[in-house]
Amino acid sequence: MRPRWRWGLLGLMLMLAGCADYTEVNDLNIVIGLGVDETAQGQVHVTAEIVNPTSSPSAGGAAGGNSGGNQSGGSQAFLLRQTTAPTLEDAIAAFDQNLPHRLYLSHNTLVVFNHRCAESGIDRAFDYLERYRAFRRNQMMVITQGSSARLLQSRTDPEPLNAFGIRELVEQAAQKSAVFRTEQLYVVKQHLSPARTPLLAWMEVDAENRPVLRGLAALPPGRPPLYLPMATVRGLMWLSGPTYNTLLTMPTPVGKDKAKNNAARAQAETITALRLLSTQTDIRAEVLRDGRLRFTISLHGTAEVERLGDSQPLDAKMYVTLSQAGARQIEREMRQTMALLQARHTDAAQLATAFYRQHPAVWRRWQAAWPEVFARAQVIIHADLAVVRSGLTIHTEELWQKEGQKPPRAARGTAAPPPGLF
Amino acid sequence: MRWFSFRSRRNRRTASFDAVWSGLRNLHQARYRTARAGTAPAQAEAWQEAPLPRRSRAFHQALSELWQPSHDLRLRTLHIGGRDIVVAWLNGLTDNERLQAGVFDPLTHADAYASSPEALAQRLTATSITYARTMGECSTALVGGRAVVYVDRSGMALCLDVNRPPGRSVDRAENEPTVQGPQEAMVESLDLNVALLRKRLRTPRLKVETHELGTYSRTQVAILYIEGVAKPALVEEVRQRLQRIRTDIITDINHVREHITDAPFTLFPTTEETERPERVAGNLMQGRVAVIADGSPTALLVPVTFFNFLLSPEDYYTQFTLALPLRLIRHTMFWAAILLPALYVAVLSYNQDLIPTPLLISVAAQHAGIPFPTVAEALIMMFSFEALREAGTRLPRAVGQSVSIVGTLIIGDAAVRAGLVSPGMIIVIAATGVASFTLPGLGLVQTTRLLQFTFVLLAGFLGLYGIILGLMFLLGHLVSIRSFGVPYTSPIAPFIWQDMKDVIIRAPWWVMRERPRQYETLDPVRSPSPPPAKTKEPR
Repeated sequence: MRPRWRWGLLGLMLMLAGCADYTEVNDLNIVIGLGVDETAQGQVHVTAEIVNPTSSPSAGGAAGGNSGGNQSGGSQAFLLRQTTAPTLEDAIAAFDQNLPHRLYLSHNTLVVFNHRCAESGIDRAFDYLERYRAFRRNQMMVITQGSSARLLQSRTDPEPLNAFGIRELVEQAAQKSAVFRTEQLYVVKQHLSPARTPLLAWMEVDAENRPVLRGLAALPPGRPPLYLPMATVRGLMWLSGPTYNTLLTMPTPVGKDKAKNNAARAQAETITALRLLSTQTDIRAEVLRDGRLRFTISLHGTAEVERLGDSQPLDAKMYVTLSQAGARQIEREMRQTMALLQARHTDAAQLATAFYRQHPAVWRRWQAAWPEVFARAQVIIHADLAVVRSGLTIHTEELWQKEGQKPPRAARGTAAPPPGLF
Repeated sequence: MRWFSFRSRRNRRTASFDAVWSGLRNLHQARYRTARAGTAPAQAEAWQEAPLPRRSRAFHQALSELWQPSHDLRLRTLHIGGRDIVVAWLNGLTDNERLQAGVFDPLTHADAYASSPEALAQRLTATSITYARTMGECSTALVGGRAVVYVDRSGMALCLDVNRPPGRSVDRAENEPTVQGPQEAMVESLDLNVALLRKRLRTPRLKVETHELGTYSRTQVAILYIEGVAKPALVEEVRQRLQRIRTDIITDINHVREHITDAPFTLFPTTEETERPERVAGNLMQGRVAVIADGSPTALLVPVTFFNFLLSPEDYYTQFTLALPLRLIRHTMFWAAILLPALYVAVLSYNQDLIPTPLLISVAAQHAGIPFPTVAEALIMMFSFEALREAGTRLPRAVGQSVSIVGTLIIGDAAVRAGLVSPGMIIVIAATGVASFTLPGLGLVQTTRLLQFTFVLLAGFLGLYGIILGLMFLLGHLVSIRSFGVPYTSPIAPFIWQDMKDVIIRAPWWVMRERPRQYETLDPVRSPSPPPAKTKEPR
């Protein structure tokens, strides 16, 4: 063979190398949601939410905002297909037998586990999702006490694609606190962290067939999942920190001025709302001489008054009162949540990570019995809140305050009032 | 396997390239030798060197026979002072009024004493008079628009400058339009083009070296440079390359360009063309050399770098702060013009996970029912776009615009409705076309048109890997080219920090104190003026 033909043949072989991976975009079944249910017989039941491109509103389809898949497809924005197999990987591989196009998992955005699945351990599912190259680590992980297929069938108007709607609900919560960041990357990191207690968003379907974010589920190793409703999750938010732009409502605090006490008590049932601009949490771990572990959790935050419950003047004293009342409220919520977590031996606040970082040698000795050590640990909680001016002071009662008596302006770095002002 | 051996790979590759090169070189040299030794050039030289006949009748007859049949040759015989005087000129190349006033009027009033050529030259009022002693010189003078006056028994002819060559006047630059700045463009006359440059560079150090190229066309080709600024070795290199040209006709500057260019088989232009005289003047002051040919309205600028093609004359006519975003757009658009369709094909055919999910859904919906694979769809659309662009260029301007609109709107829309191509592909091809239109250098536009096909094929066969492979080859090729000794990708590779002031950014004029170092100018200082000082308030 002459040299130029060899080069030509080599070039042709090189060019044809890509043919094996060539896939037209309209030959793909784009999966955007996966539901993983464990059946009573120990089988894995997988529900795949597949986009119906021609009916998807983002592509100019006719489905409009009415989401909700059905088995026959039709003009819905997405389709649901289900398989059952002994393992998750078998179930996903089985889709090739009942779907005409190739299953494309790289754009999967949501994985829903049911309670039974979490109860029997989802370590194998994590391992599969981490190792299989088709998946991306940004898929949101959600747990539901009902059927995952039912959650994937719920209506998420105005978002036409159900998986996107569910994910958006969790992302909205994650903007306020990192505890709601339940993408696979963070979940697996928590799973591999010292506490080994990942947090998954807990969602259920309400009576109107709409998904609702109920709270979080902590998955301690070897224990059933601990469901934390929203009221408890608030305490976990403060414990884990940081938080942004959260609302804190509380009974309107009564000032120390006795002359106003009577009038104020009459309005004691009114509610005052503080907008917590941001909070930061510091966790300090100490090993006491008696061998016990003590955590000191300090929260520092900045807040604005969003609504004042009564007609008291918003003077310097009132600002102090509001700061103290807000801090007490936060401390109360933190203590309640911590008590629950310790009672259930579930380190959802990831205190083990702080302990490991500060005392790695001690951690190695105690890690085997961490749930018990955590349950017996002494936890000191302290919250410090600085209520600052919002800046919108036109025609408010702050105007008649002297400049020196006003609290600090809301700005970067003004988390606490200057010492000696009050 | 014996048929493929890594050990001998290098030698065989070299051998194959050498075979191609040596074949082309031998073919060219053989033809050149044949032309030199052939009868036609020898005959041409023979009549050119023939001396003028002694008698006017014989001169009249020789000239008639030499030019016959040529209806534009005019021959008049006058009897003045007892001698016959033959006047010859080419109608159309001469100004009849100047001929009458500068030749015929003085001749009719000449006396017997003005019967010798030297004496007659004192009486004639033409601006320029030269003497011709051979038939070749007479013919050259005639085609140069001169009137040839032959005095009987003198054996010598006077050549009087009465020319008025046909041509257009100075007009607006149509191929390199700008909103601001000068608008004059060069024309097909060498003298006029040199005059346009003289108007801008009023210095005797602007040198114009003229060479006559083309055995038959005898085209005047001029080398222009600034003495004391341009590197002498560069001027000498241009001079030698021009002198090596052996051809019968030079019709355009491109003919010269192909003869003197480096890397003749590259897709990238290694000389720069411009029709703007002020751009030529500015580049001459940077130490570059210009080549202008008579009959061509564009000038060649050498040496050239890749980044010269992404500079627009407008960059220098607007505020320097505004030039930066415009240049960034052009740099981005160049790569977009090459890579955009290829990236679209690669991402849709191999790497769908790189597309945002809503966009993937939208694209998948668009592709439903399209009978062609994405790569074929892209090639069809690109071919159609190039056909429309070519049709729009070739047709008269008014019709060309109509073709473009018809092609873009009606054919594109009809193709989408018929389900032949997807709307996304139309958008990508249209965006690629727009990106290529932002490039100021026409030479680079043609390059992008070819390269985008190559990259689409690579993307169709190998995906993003193919694009990266192609880019590596492309960059390797770019850094291997030189233009008259200057690396094509300078001042980026090799990196010359001082020359970066006019590549991505356009520094203010008071910062550009030195000429580009890459051209190795004799006088490196360009402008020693200080930066503008802040105005002090009057006390």
